[in-house]
Amino acid sequence: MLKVCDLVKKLQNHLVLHQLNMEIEDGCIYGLIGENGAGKSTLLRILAGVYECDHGCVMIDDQELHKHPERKAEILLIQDEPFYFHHATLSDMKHFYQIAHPDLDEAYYHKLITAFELDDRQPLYKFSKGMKRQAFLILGLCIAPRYLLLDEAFDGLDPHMRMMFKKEISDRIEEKKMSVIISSHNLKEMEELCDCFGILENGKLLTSGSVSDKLHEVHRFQLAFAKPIDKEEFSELKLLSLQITASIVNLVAEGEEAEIKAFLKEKQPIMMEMLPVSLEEIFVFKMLNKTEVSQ
Amino acid sequence: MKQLLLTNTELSYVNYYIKKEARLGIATIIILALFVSGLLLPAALVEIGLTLFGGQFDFHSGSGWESMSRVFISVCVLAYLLPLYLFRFKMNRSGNDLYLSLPIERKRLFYVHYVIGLFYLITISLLLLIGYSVFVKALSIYQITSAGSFSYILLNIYFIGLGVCLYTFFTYIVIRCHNLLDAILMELAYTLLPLLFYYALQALIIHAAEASTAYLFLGFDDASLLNMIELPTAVLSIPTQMNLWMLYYCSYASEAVIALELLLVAGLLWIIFAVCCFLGARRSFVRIRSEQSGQNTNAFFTYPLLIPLVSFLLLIATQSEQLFSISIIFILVAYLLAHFIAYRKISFSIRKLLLFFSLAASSFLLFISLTKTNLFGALKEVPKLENVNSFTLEITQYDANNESPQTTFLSGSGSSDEALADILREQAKIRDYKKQHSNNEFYDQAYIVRFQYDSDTAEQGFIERTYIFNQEDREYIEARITEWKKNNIIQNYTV
Repeated sequence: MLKVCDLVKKLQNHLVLHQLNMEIEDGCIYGLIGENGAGKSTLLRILAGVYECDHGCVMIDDQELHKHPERKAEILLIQDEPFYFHHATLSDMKHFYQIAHPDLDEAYYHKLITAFELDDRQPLYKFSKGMKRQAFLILGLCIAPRYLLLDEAFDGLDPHMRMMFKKEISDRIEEKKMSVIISSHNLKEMEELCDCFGILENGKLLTSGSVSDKLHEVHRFQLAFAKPIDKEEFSELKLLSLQITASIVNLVAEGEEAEIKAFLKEKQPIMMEMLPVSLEEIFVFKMLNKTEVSQ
Repeated sequence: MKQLLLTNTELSYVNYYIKKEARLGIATIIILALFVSGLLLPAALVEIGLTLFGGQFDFHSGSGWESMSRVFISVCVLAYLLPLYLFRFKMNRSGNDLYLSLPIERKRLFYVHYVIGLFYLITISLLLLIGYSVFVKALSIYQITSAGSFSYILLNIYFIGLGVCLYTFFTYIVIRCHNLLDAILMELAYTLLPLLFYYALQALIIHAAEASTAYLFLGFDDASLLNMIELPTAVLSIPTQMNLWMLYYCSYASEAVIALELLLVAGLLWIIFAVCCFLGARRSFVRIRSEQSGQNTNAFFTYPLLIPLVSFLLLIATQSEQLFSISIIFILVAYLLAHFIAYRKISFSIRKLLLFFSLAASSFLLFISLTKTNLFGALKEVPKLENVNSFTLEITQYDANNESPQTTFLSGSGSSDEALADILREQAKIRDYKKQHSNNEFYDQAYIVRFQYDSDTAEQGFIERTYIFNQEDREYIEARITEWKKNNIIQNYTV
């Protein structure tokens, strides 16, 4: 298990991560969500051992990563703009990664570069942005470390490639029991791919947990009343969003579905409908952290 | 043992790196070989470079040392470029992501990169040397004796060692920088700093002595080793060290001993310096926060130290200039420009201006106090009587427009205690007159008054003090000679 305890990190006197605690179970896909500058990339760099934290620690199986640098072999960070040597080919970079990860699966590598139609003898600087990302994702999947950290790695890939990679990641997790930690802005994609997620806000984990559990915890209702209704009528609910237009109410609330339904029925709506909520909406509502009211 | 040896991962890393850079290594060897053999750059360019750095190396001696200096220049170029190449990943965020996420302890990652640089430096240097030696031997360009060959080998070992020291120093500088531009600028600045230091020191000493050339000494007994210009020059200027090696190889016993003494002191100081740099570089590599990569460099030994230091040395070096008031403006502009480069923004804070003017004031005070007190008494222009065995006085006239530029006006020597006391007193008078009336401009017509004192012990050589007077002082010089004759101070002298 990868565990982050009381992590504090300052960048240029700006507190990026503050008393952050999180746990990542083995074999899961963890989606790291947050606005720009929320500290996602910083957190991934700390997890990879690139940055050192000002306070707190990163533990792998109860061993501090900082004190056991050899355990970095179990982690691989693929950045949104991956580094490659001058004039290096994908094959060159594979050889470099093999220094730290000698178990790189050669057969799988050849299978993937054929499937993704990449020439591993061509210098990487000739690759497009998307092709470079594909190349390094392939390396990551072939190495199949215990923890694969992907920093916005899918951005810049076309939908077909995304789909192919998602499938490969799922298959690889099944096969190698590795964990993948992905930071991305594409929440729809995260919802499809991730088992767990965490929302970073102001250096702290605003909310985290299983994606399916969270989707069951948050509910959206559309209601129609015979006459206009005041927002105070819903103050007892744990609202994430509330929009009132005359006698039509749209609300998103956290809690037990049955309890919320019972509460709303007491208000005697002439129509009540439950609508699906996406992870993206949860993120937006959590980020806004306020109830929007329009009357 | 485990701590000393490289682990399998580290060994694989070194192996990979050397293989990866093999083509670049071969290309470097070819370029440097062309340079060493004189095919790439004209010798004049190298000569200008060495002259700039305070070297007195004789390129026309025909003894084969010239080519060796080119080998050493190649070593210096490698020492300059290798740290930039090997540690450039530290200055790039994605480079940090790749290298620092390797399962190698930071300290050992530093060792690995440092060792790779050493391997390239020493291998390429040796290949160039061996190649050149074979080339020289095969074509019989220079006649090298067996004793000469030994000196040649010794000298090359010395200079490869010096190259390693330089490489270590530049490694430290590069590691302290957060971006490539700063690293290049800092390496350049530190390359030029000894030259500036040398000129500032020279300006101070020469102005204090009020003479255009001055052999100065702290005390007569240690004159050979503690010569105030020669020792810093020997330590800071590598071309001077080459010159010293040539002195050691070619000169008579007494000069060879002096040269060797200076080289040993210089070499020892370089070793101590390199060890400090290595420890500093390792500490910095481990401690520097990788998130600082790509940002402005703010480490103490970079801009914060160099900008005031270089400004201060420039202020000292130009103090004696007649147009000091104009040069101070240029130095101020350079000072502000350096701040702009350092912080990548224009900022004219009162603090910065105050610092500059306090530097200017302190350089003025230092200059005045040092020149008025003869470098706080360290500058002894007249040696102690009991240490002098014999003396020589020579007055020559120099005419730049004349084909035979130097004619002896007066020459002679003496050894009696009485004559010695007289000549010391006369030198003091000459010195005082010079201090009151002197200017250090170049004279087309000049009188060169040279006092030379020989010590009891032959290996200490001699102490020489020269004063240069211009045409206007002719009357004074002639009056002195008349008085010397009248008072029987000069006996057995040819006039």
